[in-house]
Amino acid sequence: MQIFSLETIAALNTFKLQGVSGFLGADETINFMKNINKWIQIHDIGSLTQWRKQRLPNKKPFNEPDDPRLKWLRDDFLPWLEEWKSQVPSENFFTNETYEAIVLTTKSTLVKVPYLLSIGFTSVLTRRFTSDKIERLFSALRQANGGNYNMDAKAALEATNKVVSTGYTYISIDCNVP
Amino acid sequence: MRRTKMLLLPSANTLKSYTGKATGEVGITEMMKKRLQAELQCLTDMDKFVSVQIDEVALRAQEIYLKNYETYIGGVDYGGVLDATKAGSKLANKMLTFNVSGLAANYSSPFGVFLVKDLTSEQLLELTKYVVTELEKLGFFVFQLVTDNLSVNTRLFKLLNPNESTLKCEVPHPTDPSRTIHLCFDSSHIIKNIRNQFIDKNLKKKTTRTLISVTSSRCMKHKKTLFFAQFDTSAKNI
Repeated sequence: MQIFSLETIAALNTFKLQGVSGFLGADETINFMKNINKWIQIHDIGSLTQWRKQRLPNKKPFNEPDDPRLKWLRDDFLPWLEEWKSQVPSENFFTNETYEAIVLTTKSTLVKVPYLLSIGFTSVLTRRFTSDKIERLFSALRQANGGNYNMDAKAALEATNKVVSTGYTYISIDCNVP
Repeated sequence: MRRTKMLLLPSANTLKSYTGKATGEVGITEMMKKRLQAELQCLTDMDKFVSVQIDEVALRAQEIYLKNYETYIGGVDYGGVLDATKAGSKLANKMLTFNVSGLAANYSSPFGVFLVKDLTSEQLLELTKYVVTELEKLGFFVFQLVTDNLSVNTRLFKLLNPNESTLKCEVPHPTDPSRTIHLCFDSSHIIKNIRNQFIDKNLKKKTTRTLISVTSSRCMKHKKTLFFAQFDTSAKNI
């Protein structure tokens, strides 16, 4: 997701401030990229220490139900999307499916994080909410077939069996290490 | 027929285990259950909260004869959960997979694979309910369902909301109505969509002057300038 990276945003901003021709109207682009970047970071918290090591305050694991980032999602991000949607015709906005998906996922995060914290979780890592694990499973299936991206049913089922039976040993090693 | 002893037939148990093996290939197999049961023993209560991921992987539509079990594999197969006879002799081109992973503890395992073709969201709903029920029977708490942004999956989420068919992030739990199950889409897929639309579509705000997307010819120029600028700085650094 290099296109929304902080470096690109900073570069755009610099050009705008220097007044390079063609960059003067980049305000909205920068704003858009900043919002999306923050959204990505909030939904991709995968480690307890990354935010400290890389100095990314948005990647801090959620510890309190009234975290300012949750407030940002609820009070800034969702209204921003809604406002934008109401302002322009549909061809100048995301497709309907994408809009529905992004709203549902944001609302879902807003519900899940406080709920998990209330039942005793000490911190919430949002990367656990994504379906990365199943994509990893699929890549394991393909590797089990010799890098075959077009496997048949038998190969896929046998590979699944292999993952089920061998994955257990790997995971149990992981379980013992806190 | 057995009593006459004219034919030497395998016992009922043997026959059962044969069928078990043939159908056990698809659906939630015994091995998957055993694996999760073994997993369960070293988990605390908090670790039992799981997220279920649903996704499909493409397969080559091909039927293969298994000599050892004398069966064919490759047709549409719902593992006995749904009636596959309606599908006729269609060959499966997708494998629907349910994957279980822990929210607090780090474990993940496939739990239920089905060979499908042109799956409707009603069928997907039945399969999902079946998988969630089986997981709850084992002792896990299914906390959330995650899928990608496919239209079938979107409809599944709408169907899970029994009262009104709209998208909602919290719906009643299929096994226990007093609890709720959370729904969400995979954020990486959303970002992919946003990225593609940022590049391809003409995203705009209120006035025509404040373009957001990089598509218009003017903005394409920006992008190129930016690219060359980046190239320049990286070259200088070396």
